[in-house]
Amino acid sequence: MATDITAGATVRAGGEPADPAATTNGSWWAHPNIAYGVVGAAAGYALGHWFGNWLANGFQQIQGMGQNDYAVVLGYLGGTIGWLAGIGAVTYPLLKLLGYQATAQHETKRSLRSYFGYTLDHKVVGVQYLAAMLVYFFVGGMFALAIRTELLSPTNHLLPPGKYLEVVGEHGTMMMMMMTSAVIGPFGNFFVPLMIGSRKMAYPRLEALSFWITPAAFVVLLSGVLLGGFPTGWTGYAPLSIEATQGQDSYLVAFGLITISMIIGGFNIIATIINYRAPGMTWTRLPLFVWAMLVTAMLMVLAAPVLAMAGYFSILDRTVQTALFDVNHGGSPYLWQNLFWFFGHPEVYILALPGFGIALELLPVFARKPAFAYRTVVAGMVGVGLLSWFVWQHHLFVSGINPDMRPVVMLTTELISIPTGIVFLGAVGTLWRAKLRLTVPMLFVLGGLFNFLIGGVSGVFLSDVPTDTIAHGSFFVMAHFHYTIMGGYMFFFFGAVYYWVPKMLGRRLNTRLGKVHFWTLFVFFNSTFLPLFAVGELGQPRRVFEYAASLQTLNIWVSISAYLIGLSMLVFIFNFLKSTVIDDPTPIETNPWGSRGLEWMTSTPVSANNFDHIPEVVSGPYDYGTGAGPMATIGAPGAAVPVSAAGQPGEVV
Amino acid sequence: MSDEHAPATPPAAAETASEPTDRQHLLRIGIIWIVLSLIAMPLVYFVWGPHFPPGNGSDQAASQQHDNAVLATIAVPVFLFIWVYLGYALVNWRIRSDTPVSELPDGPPVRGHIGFQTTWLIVTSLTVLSLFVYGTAELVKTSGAGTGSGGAPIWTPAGYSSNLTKSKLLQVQVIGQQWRWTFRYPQYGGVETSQLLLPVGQAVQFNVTSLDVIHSFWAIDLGVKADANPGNNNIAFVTPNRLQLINIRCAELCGIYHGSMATNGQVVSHADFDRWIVTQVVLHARLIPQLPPYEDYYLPQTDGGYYDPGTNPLPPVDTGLAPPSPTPSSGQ
Amino acid sequence: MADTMAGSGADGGAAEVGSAIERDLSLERASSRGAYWTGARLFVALSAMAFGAGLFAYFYLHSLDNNTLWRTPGQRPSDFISVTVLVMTLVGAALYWWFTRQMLAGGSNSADWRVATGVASALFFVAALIQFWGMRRTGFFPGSSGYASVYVALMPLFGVYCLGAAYWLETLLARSIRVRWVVSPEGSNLDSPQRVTFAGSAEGAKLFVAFMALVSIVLFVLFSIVS
Repeated sequence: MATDITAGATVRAGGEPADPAATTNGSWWAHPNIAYGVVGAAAGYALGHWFGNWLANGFQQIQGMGQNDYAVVLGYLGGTIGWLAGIGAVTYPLLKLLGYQATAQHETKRSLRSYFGYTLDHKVVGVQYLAAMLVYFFVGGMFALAIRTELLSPTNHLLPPGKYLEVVGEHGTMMMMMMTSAVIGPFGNFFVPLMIGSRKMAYPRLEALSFWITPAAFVVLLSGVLLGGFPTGWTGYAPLSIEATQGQDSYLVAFGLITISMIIGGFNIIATIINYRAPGMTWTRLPLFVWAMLVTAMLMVLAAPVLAMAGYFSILDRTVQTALFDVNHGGSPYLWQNLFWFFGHPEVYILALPGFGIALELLPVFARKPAFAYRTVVAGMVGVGLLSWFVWQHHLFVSGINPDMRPVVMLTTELISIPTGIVFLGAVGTLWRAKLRLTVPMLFVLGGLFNFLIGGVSGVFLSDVPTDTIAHGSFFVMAHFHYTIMGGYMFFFFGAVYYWVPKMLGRRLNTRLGKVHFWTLFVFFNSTFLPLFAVGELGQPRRVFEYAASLQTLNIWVSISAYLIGLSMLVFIFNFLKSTVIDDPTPIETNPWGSRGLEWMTSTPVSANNFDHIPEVVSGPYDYGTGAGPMATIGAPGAAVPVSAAGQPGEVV
Repeated sequence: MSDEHAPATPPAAAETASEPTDRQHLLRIGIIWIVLSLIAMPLVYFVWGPHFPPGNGSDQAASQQHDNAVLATIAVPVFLFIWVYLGYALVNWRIRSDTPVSELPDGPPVRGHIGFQTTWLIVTSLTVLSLFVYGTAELVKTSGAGTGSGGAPIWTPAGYSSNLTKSKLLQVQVIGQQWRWTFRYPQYGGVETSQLLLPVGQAVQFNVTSLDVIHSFWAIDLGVKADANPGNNNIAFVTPNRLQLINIRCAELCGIYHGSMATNGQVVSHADFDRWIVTQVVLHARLIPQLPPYEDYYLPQTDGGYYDPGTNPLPPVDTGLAPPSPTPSSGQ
Repeated sequence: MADTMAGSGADGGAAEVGSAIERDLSLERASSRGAYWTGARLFVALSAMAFGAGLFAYFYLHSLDNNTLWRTPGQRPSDFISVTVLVMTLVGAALYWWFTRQMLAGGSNSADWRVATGVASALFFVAALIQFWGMRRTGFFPGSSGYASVYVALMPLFGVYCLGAAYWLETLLARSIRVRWVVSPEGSNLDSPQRVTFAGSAEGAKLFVAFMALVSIVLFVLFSIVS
């Protein structure tokens, strides 16, 4: 039973079927693909919609429109299932019912088509995630520009108030919901196995599924504008969410889908990091980026179910008329607030921690020094993760909660700045007497740290109840979270793009354009969001289209700066497309940054199995200046390897 | 791999003998930092502080303004430390970013420094804990610092009583609904007005509630912010201390006209207030009896009225479903 | 298996490559085993968070008792349905748990295990169906009280979880029929990838059905016993 997969054939042992996604030969229409996914989505939506109408026989909320919440929700769910079936994600679970356990094949051929399909290669999933996240980010950004255009004047209105709120909600939800996996999706999936010396992920199918849910969620969220949008913003407060029209369902279903994607993705990452580390890759040698991924994934897996339940409760209130959030019938609006923010606060650390991981990972490389205070920094990240469960009520300081709770939550929230500060401790120490190279990735890391400092300190104003009284619900909060999430997280994200794209795609992004992108983004980001602290303190609430005339000058300044951010992003888009798609490929070094990291010891492009053989790790990734040799001993990169010994079938999933 | 401090030997080859020592670097950074902080902190606290939002139009607003000033002053050395350090690093410790990989020099392998790490942790912890103590103190001193403290506040001003008839505070009920604010004065017959007038120097108890979705009553100049929740009473205390215009905005997204849910109020003299409220009562004399009786919050009931469910039992709800059959073996 | 393959890749002798491959395979088998262990516990943890949110809703709304409508007198789901579902889930969980414990320890008749798993899967499936059917016969309107609302929210979720348990157990049963030796392997098969996968999944399901049993008891107590 000798096996040979170099020709792309599949292993058969004991009657196992080949995994349909593994073969890349044969015509495109013989295999599940995006086109079938779209067809499946349409069919599923129609079926679900019809079923919903049949269930809710007669519940026409808008006369003659044939739409009721049952139909919309079930239509979306049916569409998502149809989409997943069409791209081939449902086949394997069904085959399992018949007792099949298809073996995971290591592909040796990676074609362009595999990037558009349901694939088991975590590196392909990483690239898919990168492309998708950039699309979601720019779409969300367009909504932001629409908001800023509306806010140019407090009295002349571009958009009717309902439309304005739609735009606000779409922007916020697109960013907070879709971008949650912006780092863990592309870079976590691509690099965690490489960084720990593994040839695969623990659950490749789940990983691919977590990706393919996101386009469905994206479409569901965007289609909300066709249904009149949702008036609640990304926080979805009840009872406004219950009285809203069908657009609210698209928010609820999209968020539900993303929570599933988050849970699945995080689940896979945790199982991989715990179990698939190469020999010698001890916990104290684990790269800080991987630690950040681990803590982030734990938060995702445990917090997202709570949000899923909150969304499910809202859908029930809207469809079967439960009263979970209706104070008149035994429910409470506070229930939504508590459930949402119990997820919501870990959520912001789900955003912040990967950013920290990137910063702490790149600093040693571009400072040529070990990561300072490694164990303390790891403890800091774990501490942030743990403490993040105890602070959610600071979003509820003025809402009328039990006043005894407020000093307690003030304490926990103040305390969380200690582990967050430890990240800066690590950065400061790593920069001490370093050999700093201001490459584009390093610029983004330093800029991100600068921004996050402002964001983090402004958080202290929000954690203190008296000062929160002014700032809550105002543009101060907006400035705070844009500084931490956009100024911090997204800057670190771009740093990661410039740093890792040479390994992911074998192309180097143009350095000069990268520096233009950084400097313009840095300057215009600060000029957009710094004034918003003042705007909030001076009395402009969030999500308003009218504001005091005295604040108009500041608002105009902010809007113009926001357009300039858009221009800066155009520079990036141009650079990215030109370098990765338009220009002819030129061979690049496997390790252009001179990093010690294990991921840089692979070939470029990374071979299908990552490493010929599982490496033996002998030193840490940050041993600069100690005279240590390479991190691990591995086989010659790029060699094809017969995976199975005689008589043994290939890898099981 | 314990944290260890490598001796500060200068790196090989290319460095000159005038390479500053660790101590010199530390001193330079420290001195720049301390000098800048000593200049900036008093500027922030004394010069900028009195101009911070939300001004000092009430005891609570003044407390918030002071809190802002304290936090900003403490933030100054934090910012300066990172900025000075980053600036110093970028000036002194750079190499060309296009250095070929094979020629990259390494920095000293400093993995940690117990003294520095411990100092950092102690300083951050102490700062954070003292901010907590200070914030709580402000909260207690000002009876909640203008925040909505729920239906049973624990830090109350003198004269507070949970029984309205015994309270020495001016009771103003703020009713939020999509998308207007109205104000009820239970001590004046329960008259409901669309204007908010308050007498200067009088301790006020706002009872904030909503009739539909969540709003948030933000009286900016008074430093009051309290969410308006349906079926809930949210109490905020404030003592306005000068004659002024009050800007009132809604601070919680409540639907499409959230942005225009704004109004103005005024703090006037006692005499003006008395005159005004009497005029309002007379003006609305025929309307007042038709309003629902004053309650902490209003829950619509099935008979069309609003009443306190504590005192009046609910009428049975007709669900339209058949009641479960009482036979024990029925397969319901 | 102690050789650290120094990856001399291209020119290593066939024996070196062979033992390197064996090392890779045994490492990846150990990783796979661990992944099932981790995965089962993560799945139980995240499910606990989901049901926990439901429990929070129950206790929170109970403590608030808004409009004195936490629970109108006499609201209670049908005993027939609740007891039936409870008994089915407990029996199914117990059956599967007991026989799997034996199977994994290397004892027991394969046929016994298969029957137990099949029956358990069927029990979970029918319990789910009864639960869904029961939703239309609660005797109270979903929005009539907080209690009613939480009941209508939690029980279908539990039903879906029962379907999940039925699915998991059925896939194990189907697997044991398709690859007959995987239930009681001998010799080199003990360490085979098929056995590792199967045993990992079976062990994980053991933990999961224990969790399901706990959840069904808690829900029964909260909705049918507490007054």
